[in-house]
Amino acid sequence: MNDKTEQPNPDRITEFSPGTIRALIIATCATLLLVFLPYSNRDRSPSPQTFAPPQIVAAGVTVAQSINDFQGMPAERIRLRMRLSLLVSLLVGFVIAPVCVFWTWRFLQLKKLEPGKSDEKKNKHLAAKALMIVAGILLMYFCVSNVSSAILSPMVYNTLKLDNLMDRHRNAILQDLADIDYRAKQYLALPRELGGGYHSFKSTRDSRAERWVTLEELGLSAETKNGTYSIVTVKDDTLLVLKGVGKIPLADGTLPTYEFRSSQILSIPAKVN
Amino acid sequence: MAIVWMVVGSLMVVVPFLLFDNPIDPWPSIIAGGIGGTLFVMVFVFYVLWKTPFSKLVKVVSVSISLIAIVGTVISWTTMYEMSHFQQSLLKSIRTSIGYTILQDCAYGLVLPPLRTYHEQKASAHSPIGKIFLATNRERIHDGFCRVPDEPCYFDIRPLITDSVVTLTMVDSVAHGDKDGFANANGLRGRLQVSAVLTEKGVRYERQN
Repeated sequence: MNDKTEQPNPDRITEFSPGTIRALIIATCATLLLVFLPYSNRDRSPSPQTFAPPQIVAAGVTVAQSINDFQGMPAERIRLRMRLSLLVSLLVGFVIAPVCVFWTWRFLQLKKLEPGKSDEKKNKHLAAKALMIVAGILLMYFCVSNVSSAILSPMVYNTLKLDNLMDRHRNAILQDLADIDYRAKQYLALPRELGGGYHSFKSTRDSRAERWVTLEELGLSAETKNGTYSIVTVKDDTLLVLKGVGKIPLADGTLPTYEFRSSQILSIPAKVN
Repeated sequence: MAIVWMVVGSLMVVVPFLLFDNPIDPWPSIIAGGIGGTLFVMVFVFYVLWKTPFSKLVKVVSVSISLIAIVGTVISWTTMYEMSHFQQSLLKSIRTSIGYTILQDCAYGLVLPPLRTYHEQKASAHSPIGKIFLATNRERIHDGFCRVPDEPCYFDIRPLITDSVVTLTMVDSVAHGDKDGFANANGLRGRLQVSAVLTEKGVRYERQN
């Protein structure tokens, strides 16, 4: 461009007008505020709840309280800072961001329809646009995090429920095996006239047949709602190996199978006065 | 006018939030604030779109996006609420299951050796089972409580001993039982409680809460 022959384009000058600079400063300050607000606590570490959606913060608090309960500790009071941060995120997500976005959008639409192009109108136009961009980012963040969470969290929830079902199933089988083990130990301790084996796992029901005790003789059923059980081996009256087969198949289609080794309880010599 | 909308919206969020504020559980306050906020957003968005001369297409697209965002928010909040409470009940049931297994193990560790000793006695020197229980567990019983080595102190085991019956009432002071209002033997409420009754015929084990 030859400066001596060509006149400067007035549109280019307005790009750097006071209104543009003001709008840029507002946008920059808002961005810096968004970046550094999470570091505003005493230890200068980012506070995760500052911009986390409130439902995620609340879910985190519920799980943390459950862990305290699990460990036998009393429920912890939620700090005022966290409660205020939840309130602020609700206000930003439901009030401040939507009002700023929709009201500036309405303002820009109404101004567009008005005749005339004054400098003052252009400045207001730019400031409104800057505000709409900042509030729009906040609103987008709020909406995108909620909608993506609405899509993903049910999947996570279903996986969690399925995992828990398998865990409960496994624990129920192990509990049944432990019950059989206790009955077997009691069988060893009880005399024959009280239905026990008295130092032996041999069956007392039929003294002529040399066979090991069955679950039925221990007073238990070989099948429960959790699985089917059997005594696999008995070794020298000191070791009983139990087998439990679950009823809910694993991911590969096989039924979960557990072995439980039970050793004979030793009699502690008692001094009877 | 925008300021008025902002003040009204803030009141619709802040008032229910503070009314349902709970220092232990954040859900009541954020659900109350969220319902207030959702109602405000719906009214505000429809007002703006209705009062502003946008084209029909813009209005339809805006309403659709707003509805998707609102429905997404409701689904996300509901799922998070259910998921966190599911984990809470899961941790409770895991703790109860652990407590039950440990108490059962403690009970059998305390009662099976005396049962065995009782039936191994010679007829000439026959002692009652209660006496054998006391003799076998003498080192474990202090001030009316049974102390099982290597087990945490929140397992409260109280024996009631007669000559022919030994009843162990055991409370896990941390694990929750089935009924919240159940009065436990150690003065607590709603905790896991099991009993083991030892007679010469064996052990009867029963979960009381």
